[in-house]
Amino acid sequence: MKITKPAQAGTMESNDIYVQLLPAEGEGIEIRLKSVVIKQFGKQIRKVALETLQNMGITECLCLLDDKGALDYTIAARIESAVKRSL
Amino acid sequence: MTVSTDLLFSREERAKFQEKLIKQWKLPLIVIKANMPGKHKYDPFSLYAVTIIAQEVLSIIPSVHVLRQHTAEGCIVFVVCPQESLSLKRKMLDIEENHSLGRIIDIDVLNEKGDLLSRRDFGYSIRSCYLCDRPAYQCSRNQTHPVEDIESHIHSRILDHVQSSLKYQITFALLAEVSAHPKFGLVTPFGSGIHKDMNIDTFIDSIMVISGEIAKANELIFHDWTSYFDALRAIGKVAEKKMFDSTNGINTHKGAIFTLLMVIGGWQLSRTLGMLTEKIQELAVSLIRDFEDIHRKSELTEGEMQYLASGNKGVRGLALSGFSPHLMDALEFYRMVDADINEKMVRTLLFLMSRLDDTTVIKRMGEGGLKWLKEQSKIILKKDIDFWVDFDYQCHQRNCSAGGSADMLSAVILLDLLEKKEREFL
Repeated sequence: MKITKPAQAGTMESNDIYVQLLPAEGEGIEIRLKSVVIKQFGKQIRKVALETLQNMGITECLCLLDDKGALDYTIAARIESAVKRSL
Repeated sequence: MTVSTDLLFSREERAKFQEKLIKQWKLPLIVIKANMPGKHKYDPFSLYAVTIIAQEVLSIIPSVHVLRQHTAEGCIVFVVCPQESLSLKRKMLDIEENHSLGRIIDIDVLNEKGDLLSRRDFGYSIRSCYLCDRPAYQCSRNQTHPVEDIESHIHSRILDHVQSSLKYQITFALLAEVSAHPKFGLVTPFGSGIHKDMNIDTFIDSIMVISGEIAKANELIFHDWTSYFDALRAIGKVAEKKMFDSTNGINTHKGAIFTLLMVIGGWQLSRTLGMLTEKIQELAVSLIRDFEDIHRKSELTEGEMQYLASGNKGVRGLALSGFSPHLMDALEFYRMVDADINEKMVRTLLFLMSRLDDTTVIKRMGEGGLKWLKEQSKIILKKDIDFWVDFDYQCHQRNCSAGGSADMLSAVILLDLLEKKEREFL
């Protein structure tokens, strides 16, 4: 599935993550991450985000993430919300 | 929805609400909320911490609009403030760093454009873990400490603050009572029960003005029982007036003010649970005058009318007996319940509802209704919490609201604190 309609989820608060889903600029899933803990957890955040998108059947999108230290379940929940709002 | 998705949803809704407030007022916005992990977001500890910090914030900055929300995230206080946002943020950071409850609270400052100001922009490092020196996010992501350890540390820190003065002990006891849910017709954070004229904000407004007043009981010097009683009664009258002023004439705490003053009055002179009943009884002797004077009164209260009709002496009668056996039995029960504080309180309330001849119940439900309530409470008490929702619904249908039991619950919570503090000195 390709994302065609933009959608957002989350907030800019501590322990949360702001997710913006947009139509892909190139091919496949592109994730752009900004995070207060990018050095320690950047890789893990991308992994969770990618897995969540793939599990929901998304094959193409641009996913912008502004993370303020969200835990994995929050990241997954916010991405899920955004996908549902986009469809 | 699970507990966590409720929370995430509430947070998003709140972000929209905040945006709306800023568009409306075009001024900086301060948002005060608890910063506690764990599932029990709305509980006495978080409500107490937020309320105390909010009071502190409002004492140092001007405000044009203050409101509270009560949701899955807990109690959240919003303050619209006509002051420059950077200086506001500095003041809020000072509270977060230096107030004994500051670490447990988040005070967000948004400027008039809606941007969230970050502590990092002010040279403050990110917050460190409650239990060790690592950055907080590291321990929370790695789940370094069990949630129970963090919760227990936070509760401990809050209780240190609570136990530091009688005013705070009373504040905690009253806030705890109103935060309990479900409450079978009484006011909770999520609904007004059967009451159309008040809600939890009415209660919190009242609590913040009466607690300090009731605590003045501490300053009294005992000469004899009659003058001691009269002095306590005078404090009660002032507290009542302050209550009515803060609630625009709604009676939230008249019964609680009386009950707490009697318990505190008795406690000052006993300092042990063993002697408490006797001291309350001696103190209450002055109440007999009230019953003798009743025919001189032109306007009778509901309780006084019931006394004339059925001989039920209501809360005065309870005081005359030293609140015995209910207060001590309920305290023992409360301490024995092995569950989180909300469950302890709700079970203790059911315990009290099953035993008290509550005149506020008789007023609304009649003697037959009281009988039903006592029987049903006793049955529900033996069952697990799945049965509460249905009983709560039935109580609403029957216009039930056991105010006397709620007042007694506050007294139990307060007595628990008073006695624990006393034991620290032994």
